[in-house]
Formats: sequence, C-alpha cells, structure tokens
Amino acid sequence: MASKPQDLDSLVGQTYRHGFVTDIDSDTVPPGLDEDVIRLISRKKGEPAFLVDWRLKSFRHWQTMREPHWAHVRYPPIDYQAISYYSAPRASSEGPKSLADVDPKLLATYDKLGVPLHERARLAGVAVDAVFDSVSVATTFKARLAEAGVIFCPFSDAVREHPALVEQYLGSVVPPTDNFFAALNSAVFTDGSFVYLPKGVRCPMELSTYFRINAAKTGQFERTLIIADEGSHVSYLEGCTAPMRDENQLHAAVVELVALADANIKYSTVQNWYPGDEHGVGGIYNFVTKRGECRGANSRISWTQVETGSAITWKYPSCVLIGENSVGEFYSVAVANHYQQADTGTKMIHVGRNTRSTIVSKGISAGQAQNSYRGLVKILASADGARNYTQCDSLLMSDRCGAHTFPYIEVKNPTATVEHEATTSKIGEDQLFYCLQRGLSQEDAVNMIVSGFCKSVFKELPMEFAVEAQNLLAVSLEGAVG
Amino acid sequence: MSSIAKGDLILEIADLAVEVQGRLILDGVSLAVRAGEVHAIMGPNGAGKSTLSQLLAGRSGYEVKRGTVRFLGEDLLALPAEERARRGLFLGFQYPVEIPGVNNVYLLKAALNAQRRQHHLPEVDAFDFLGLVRDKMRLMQIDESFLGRGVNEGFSGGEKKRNEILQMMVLEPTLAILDETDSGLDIDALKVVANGVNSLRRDDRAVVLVTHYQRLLDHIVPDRVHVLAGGRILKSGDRNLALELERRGYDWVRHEASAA
Amino acid sequence: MNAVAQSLTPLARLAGAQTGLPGGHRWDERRRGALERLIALGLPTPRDEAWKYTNLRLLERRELAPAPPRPLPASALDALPPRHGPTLVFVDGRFHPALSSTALPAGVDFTPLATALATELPPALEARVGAGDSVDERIRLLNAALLGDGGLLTVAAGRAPEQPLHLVHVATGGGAYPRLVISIEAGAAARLVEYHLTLGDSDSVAVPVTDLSLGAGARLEHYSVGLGGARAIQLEDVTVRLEREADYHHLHIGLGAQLARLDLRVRLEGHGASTHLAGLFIADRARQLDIRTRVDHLAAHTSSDQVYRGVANDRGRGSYDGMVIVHPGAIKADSRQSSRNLLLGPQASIDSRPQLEIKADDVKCSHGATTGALDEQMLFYLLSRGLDRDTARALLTFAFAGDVIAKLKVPELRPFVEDRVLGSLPTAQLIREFIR
Repeated sequence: MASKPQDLDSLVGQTYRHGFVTDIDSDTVPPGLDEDVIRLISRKKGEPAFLVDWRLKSFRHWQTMREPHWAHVRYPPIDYQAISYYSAPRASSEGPKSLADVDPKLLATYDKLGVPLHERARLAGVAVDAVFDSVSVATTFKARLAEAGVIFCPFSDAVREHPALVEQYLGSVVPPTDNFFAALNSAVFTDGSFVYLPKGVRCPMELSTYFRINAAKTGQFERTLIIADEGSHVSYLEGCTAPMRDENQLHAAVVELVALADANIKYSTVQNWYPGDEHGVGGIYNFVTKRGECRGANSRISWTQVETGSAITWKYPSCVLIGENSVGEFYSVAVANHYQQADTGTKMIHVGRNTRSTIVSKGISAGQAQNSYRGLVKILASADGARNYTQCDSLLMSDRCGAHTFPYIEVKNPTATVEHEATTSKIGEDQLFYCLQRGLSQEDAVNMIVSGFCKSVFKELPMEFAVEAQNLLAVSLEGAVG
Repeated sequence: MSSIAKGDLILEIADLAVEVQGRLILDGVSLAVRAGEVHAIMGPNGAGKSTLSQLLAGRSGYEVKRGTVRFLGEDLLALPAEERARRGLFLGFQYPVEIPGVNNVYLLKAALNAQRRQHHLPEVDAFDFLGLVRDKMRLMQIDESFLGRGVNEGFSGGEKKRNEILQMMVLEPTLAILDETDSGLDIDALKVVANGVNSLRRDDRAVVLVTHYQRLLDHIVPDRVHVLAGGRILKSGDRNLALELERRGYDWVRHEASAA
Repeated sequence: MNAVAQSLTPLARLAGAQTGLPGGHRWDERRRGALERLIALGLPTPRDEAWKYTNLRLLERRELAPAPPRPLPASALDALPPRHGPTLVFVDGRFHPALSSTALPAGVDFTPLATALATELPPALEARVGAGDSVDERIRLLNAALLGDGGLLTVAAGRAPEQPLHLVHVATGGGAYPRLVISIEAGAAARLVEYHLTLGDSDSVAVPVTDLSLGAGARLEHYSVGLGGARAIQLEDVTVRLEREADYHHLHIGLGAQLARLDLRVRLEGHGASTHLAGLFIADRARQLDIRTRVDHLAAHTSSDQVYRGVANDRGRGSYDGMVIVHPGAIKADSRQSSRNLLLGPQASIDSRPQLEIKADDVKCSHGATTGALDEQMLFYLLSRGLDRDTARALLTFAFAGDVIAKLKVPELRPFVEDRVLGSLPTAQLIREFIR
C-alpha cells in the first residue's frame, strides 16, 4: 500500500518520568492496622484527644464496611494488613522549621520533579506545601501568606495551632461513615494541607500541594481541608507522583472544601501517580473522596482535574450546592493508556434555589485501558430554578480499550433545567490526515487534536499548570494511536 | 526549492492504476507537470479525480496496482503523507475537515515550521509569523477573528475554501493540487480564491487544478487541460479544450475515445 | 414479620397457583424451577442498579395468582380505535378465540401457546419459551413460573402482509402472564400493534413477556400502547434478536396504569442490523412509568437510535434508563440516544440515565438528555402573539410529544394517540382546535 500511515503501535514505549526513588532514611511503622497503630500515629503527631477518638471511631466503623466494587473496575483484593500506614523522612519527622532545615536530598527530589521549593525559583508566584509519604516536608511563602491572614500549613500543624477550626470542620463535608475509603482515611490519615481564608480575603497567590509517595509498601492517606470564609477567594492546586514499583500502592485521600457566602474556591489537580508499566504491573490505586459544600449564598466551588496517572483511579469530586445562587463546576480530562482503569466523574447535588452547575468531561482511552465517566446530577425538590449543563466526550484511540458513560440525572423540581450531551468516537482519521498533509508528524498531529479535544478543560487550569498538563497529556499518549 | 528552473519535471505519473476496496478507480493515468505550469484536470463525477488528488497527498486506503509517481525525481508513493507535505506538495481539500479546539494559527505555524526544519531553516518567530499571516489574510479577505478560531470550526463552505488557499499561500508549495476548490463558491469568493492562486504562480512552482466546471479556468488560465474519465486521461489539450468541454459535455470525449 | 419474609410472601403463595396450568408434567417442573429461582433471588428492589428507579413495593399487597377465567363484556374493546387487519385477543394472558379474528393473511401463522405446550415443540422454540435466570431477568422468571398461554406467531420468509396485525391484551383483575414468541422470518416485513388494557379500574398485575426474532433482511414495525387503569400494574419484558440487515422499530406509548415498566432488549447480532426505538410516556396523577432499554451491538455496521420523551405532571414519576453496549469487533457501529423530559407539576419527578459502554474503537455514539420545564422563550413567543398562558403551555406540551407521535405510521393509530395525549393534558380543551 502506497501510503499507510506509520504503524503507531511501534511508537509505544513511553516511560514514566517521575519513577525514581529517593534514597532517604525513613521512620516507617511496620505494616498492619489495628487500634494500637492508630494510637501510635496519633501519638507521633502529638494530637489532641478529640482527634484520637475521632480516628478510633472511624476505624471501628470502617471494620463494619465492605469494600465497594464497580462494574468496570477490576483489581485483586487489597491486603490492608500488608500496608504500612506511616512513613516519614527521619530527619523531618518533627516537621522542618524552615526551608533551611529540609534535607537537601528532599529538595533535590522536588527539583527533579519540577517543583523547586526555593521561593525564588520557577513557581515564584505559587506557595507550595510538599508532602513526602506521610508528612509535609516544606511549605513555602508562609510569611507572605500570614501577612494576608491566610493559613496555609501542613494538616499536622493545623491540628496543633488551630484545633478549634479543625474540630469544627473536619469530617463536616465527608463524614467518616461516607464510604469505605473515606472511613479508612479518617482512621489513619497522616498529613495533608490545611487552608483557611478569613472573611473577605483574596489569596495573594496560588496555593499548591505536591504529593509524593516514596517509600515501598506504604499507603498515602492525606487529608486536605480548605475553608473559605465569607467573600474570600482561593485557587489551590495539587500535583502527585510516585516511584515506579512492581507492587500496587494505595492512595486513599479525602479532600473537604467549605465555601461560605460569596466565597470562591478553585481546586485543580494534575494527577500523575505512577500508572504501572505497559503490561499493567504496579501502579497506584487512587481511591479518593473529594467533596465541596457551597454553604453560603453566591458561593462557588470549581474542580478541575487532569488525570493521567494511577493504575486505577476512582474519584468523583463533587459539589453540594446549598446556598442560594451557588455554583458548582467540574472540568475533567482523564487519560487511560495501557492497562489503566479510570472511573471518574462528579456529583452535583442541588439543594438551594437558583443553584447552577457545569460539568465538562473529556475521556481519552488508549491501549487496553478502561475509562468510565460516572456522574450524578440531582435536583432536589427545594432547588427552584436550578440548572445543570453537562458535556461528556470520549475519544477512542485503540480497538482494545473501553470508554463508558454512566450519567444519572434525577430531577425532582419542575423549574429546573438539566441538559446532558455525550459523544464517543474514534480519533478522526480525516483530522489526522489533514494535519499530516500540512507536514505535521503523526505524534504532533495526535497531540494537537487531543489537546484541541481537551481545550475547554485546560483553559480552566491556572496558567502555570496548563502547559504542564498539556505536556503530561502528550507523554501519557505517546504512541497511543494504533 | 529555489534550485528548480522553469521546465523542470515536478510531477511525473506513469501508467498509474489504483484500486479502492477492490474496485479499479484509476486505470493507467499518465501525466507530466513541469515547473511554471498550471494544469487543469477535468472530468465528470466519479471519474477518479479526487482519488488521484488524495492518493498523491498520501491518504491511506488506496491500493496501487501498477505504475509509478515521481515528485522532484523521487518515488512519491514511498513517502509518508507528512514527508510529501514537507517537500512541498500541498493538497487543497475538497471537504476541509473541522478540528475543534485547535487554533488555525497554531496549525499553520506548526506546518510552516515542520517544512522549515526539513530545509534546515530556523523556525519562524511568532511575531514575524503573525505579520506574514495577516498580509495573506488581507489578500484572501479573511476576517481578523479567524486567528482565534479552531481549524475550520463552524466555517461556512466558502470560508473553508479560502482558508485552504491561505494555508497554501503561507506554505508556498512547489506543487499545489487544488481539489474542487471552486465548488460551493459564489462569484466574488471565486475571484478571491483565483487571485490567491495566481499570486502563487511562479517559474519554479506548479499548480494542478482538479475541477468539474470550467468557470474557475476563466480566472486561473491553465497551460494544459486534461479530461479524466473512467480512470484514464482520455484527452489533453490547451485551454480551448475546457471551453469545448463546456459546450459539448463530457460524453463527447467519451464517444471520441471509444471510437478511437 | 421481617421485611424479607414480607416481600417473599406473595411469591411463596404462587406455588399454589402453579397447579393445573397447561403443558403437563414437563412444564410443571420448569415452572416450579423458575419460581424457586425467583424466590431465591427475591423481587428486585431499588438497591439493584437495574431497578434503581422502579419500586415494586406495590406488588407486595397485590394478588399475583393468575386471574380465574371470567366472561368478558362485549364492550371491553370499545375503547380501541378501529382496527384494519386481523386481531388476536388475550384476556388475563389467555388467548380468547371468540373475540379474535379467525382468518389470518397468507404466510401468517398463529398457535395459542396453551395448545403448543401440549405438543413436542422444536428444541429451538422450546428454548425460547424457557426462561432466563440472571438477576437482570427476574421479570421473565416470574412469567416463566406461571407460563400457561400466549402464542406462537410467525410471518413466513419473504411475506409482507399488507395490514398490521393487532394484539390486544385485556387484564380483568389478578395476574396475567402471557408469553409471546414471534418470528419474522428472512426477508419478511410486518407491522404489529399491541394494546394493553384493563377492565375498569381492576387491581391487575400483568407480566407480558415477548420473545422476538427477525431473520436476515426482515423488518418489523412494532407499536405498543399502554392504556392500563388507575390500579393496573404492568411489567413488560421484550427481547429482540436481529440477524443480518434486519430492521426493528419499536414505538411505545405509555398513557396508563398505576405502575408500568417496559424492559426492552435488542440484540443486533447480524452484520448491518438496525433498530429504531422510540417512546412517549405521560406520567400524570400518581403514575409511575419507567422505560428501560438495552441495545447490544454485536456485529459490524449495526446502528441504533433511540428517541424517548417523558412528561410528568401532578405527583407522577417517570424514568428512562437506556444502555447501549458496543461489543469488541462491532466496528462502524452507530448509536444515538435522545431522552427529553418535561416536568409540569411541582411534585413530579423524572430520572434519566442514558448510558454507553464502548468496547470497539471505530464507532460513532452519542446521547443527549434534557429535563426541565417548558422553554420560557417559546412560551414568551406564543404569549407575545396573543395566546393566553394555559393555551400556550398546552400547545408546547403537545408539541413536545409530537416528535414521537409523528413516528406512528399506522393511520388509525395516530389520531387515537393524539386524542389520548390531549386528554391527559390539564388544559387540552383549549387547543383541540389548533391540532385538528
């Protein structure tokens, strides 16, 4: 044949760029989970009594629960007794007092990941909290944020320094009984980020947490809590990476957002946990519960996620829209290649009058991956004038992958308007040929078309990360068209 | 590129036979296009005109049963589509595809730089590039808003065709094959498109117009006219052949050919 | 008594109702087997994904045993439109020869199932009469447990009867479990119109199960009109298999019953097979009307499209749950789903779940779903032209249903359905003059 396009399967062979291990002395609790382990974690962190009790209650409840199983997600049973629930770089197990105290090996790790922790480096406009295995190792720009009245610190610090806020809000959006993984997280969570914005404060810079799983046979169970008091604004971004390991590692985080009247929270995720190799060996199980409550009138919570990593992703960043005129948004790009399984989507629960929500989901399936969108739009009888618009598109890049769309639309109020549109199609042969005819390489053409497909999501990312997300997408899909 | 002189052979098709899904569409096409020339390939619907254009540009799904195609002396059929484009072969599509979310300017710049890398030239600077595009846009009477839109996204038929010519003008191909570029254009748009093509005519380039009607040829005067029907070139001549076709229809050529 | 025992009670009672059904020992065994499996699985509850939007608690207080034979007043079919073409009538699931046509067109063959059960059926046919036993098919099990009558209907290869065939189901109170096995053989073409009625407002539970097959190149237009009374429960299960190039149309109009659910499964097994499914339900008063479809694309170049419109008023509830699965190898599959829903009353609700599972790459699939009130801009346009609000609302509601009504290709059916739809609108009298 004269002009068959190059066999793109031959281009497969992309390697995970963040797959290195940092050789650092760690304080790691032996694998296994019982009440003593939980007390030990709590003691190591010097927690107040209310938190120990809360953890133990969560653990007892977890023991009564059954692990969820979804139709399109398959994995061997997880042995929860084989996981170590606490691992911290030894030097910093007490938490560094300043960047100068941070182990140079750790600084080098974050440099290598493209997240330099020096305050004058590339991410000059972004405050970063770096979480390494179970603990936060560094938080930048603390002083400048404190000037504005913004609290941005490791969760452990917040427990010590702002116990009243923690006690008031922890578990108020995602109760420990919510689901199996949220209960587990509530029992064993080790660190994460805490953000509080006082009334009327517009956060002077982007906040960011960078999560890194390093130690073998550990799980990561971080907890993030963001409270935006009346009229405040914040944009927060999380990034995630892990070394390449043959075993599967569990990541079961909980993120809770609270937006009071007129507050605005923008939460962006670039998730690039190790996805396993091209044969499906290894990789992170990413079972995450993320939920925000728009409690006050005119508040807004916006989730943007670019999900390219993990062997299995199971997450549905959701919004409960209680305040009148509150707004929930969900913008998602989920890429699944090789043997990855992504099951992601959102829930928009409309409670208040004139609440609005927008869902834009772009799924890309390649290799033998399974990619599912699962979403719920629920309009309660109280939500007069509520509106939702959902656009859900899937792009297929191989004949062995799967792309599934499972929207649930439940409307109990006649003044609501709900619109849902979805398409699934193969990457356009005509579009590819058009680009080739203009001289672009097959890979450039694929990247261009795919990022065009994802554009309406990328434009929601903070500028600093839009480019990173685009590159990540290109790497994840290298050689994916077959 | 500039080493080509008027009269050099740019495209040479010899006894080309092509099947699509087991059906013989081209059956012995021969054609030579030299630098400085404009050729028109005319023919009724289903004659194989679009097959020929698409095949030359490197689209998959065509099976070459026999014959050769040489472009600037090289075996064209051995090159992948993008390689052909970078060496200066441009196809103006009959139905330009929409690529949502991909900016027009971005595609154009990526295309130009791919070509420049091929010729070991430095990539064009974003500012200079925009200036260049704006000049050509004025000539093609394309609105400024075009710069921010997705490739052909939501364009009318006429806008898509003008965009094809704009791309051609930016890429300055050695051989431009324009597949039914005149279809769906009103007379004003037709003139704009013709101006664009004429501005590209030079001694070191060639143009092949593939068209059903002769009206485009009033504005772009061809050196040679070929009639393609039933998978072969049945008759060739100068521009008068096009006028005669207009008068007497394609059946005339077919009868003459079967009589011969 | 705990909840589980309570939900089993009506099923457990059915064991007594199994005696004396036609077909003899062999079929008795099967019916017993089906009931045992069903009792083991239990009736579906909203905790089952497939039954998330249909609550069967109503069944617990109903008599499920097959209704005893009782005389049918001659006026029973008066509500129906004139029928041009043969009619087969089933009363409480049993074939009723007195009200049925005796002559069928050439190439059309009908045998009452009760008659057929007494004979040795060909194995392929026997398998089709037998029940599925997956969790998803419990309604088929319920039917299989009480299987006694219905019919075997065949349109012979290459035949195309000019007039539509009519099947009329009448429920008089108590259970009805008709089983229909319909074969449209290769190259045949037919139209089938089904009506589901109840006698007055009798407490009835109808569980009709239909097994349809279309041979290569066959074509069937299948219309189904639900007109059950205020205390009627209907759980209908239709399974269709299509061979290559076959074409199946199903159009469902749901206007009655207290609780009605249609489970429609279409399997596109042959290359180039296609299906067109459409439906309209109007859930007024306290009705619950549910539609669940599942289309399996199992071969290349198959296509499906679905157009469903739901209206809920008063305390009505409705749902559309549509699943399209494109299996590996079903390249060039083309699938579209459209679900639009209109909520008219403050206590009305509609759930919609258009789902796609794609396991092949070269496909084109899309779905769209909307739920909401009448379009304010359209309403305003009509008001600005001088219409009053009630008239404008009624007109727009009727127009909303129009997408589906326009697909009714049997001449006498369309005015009948239009009339019924109008009758269910609160202010219908205002717009009759606009429609006719």
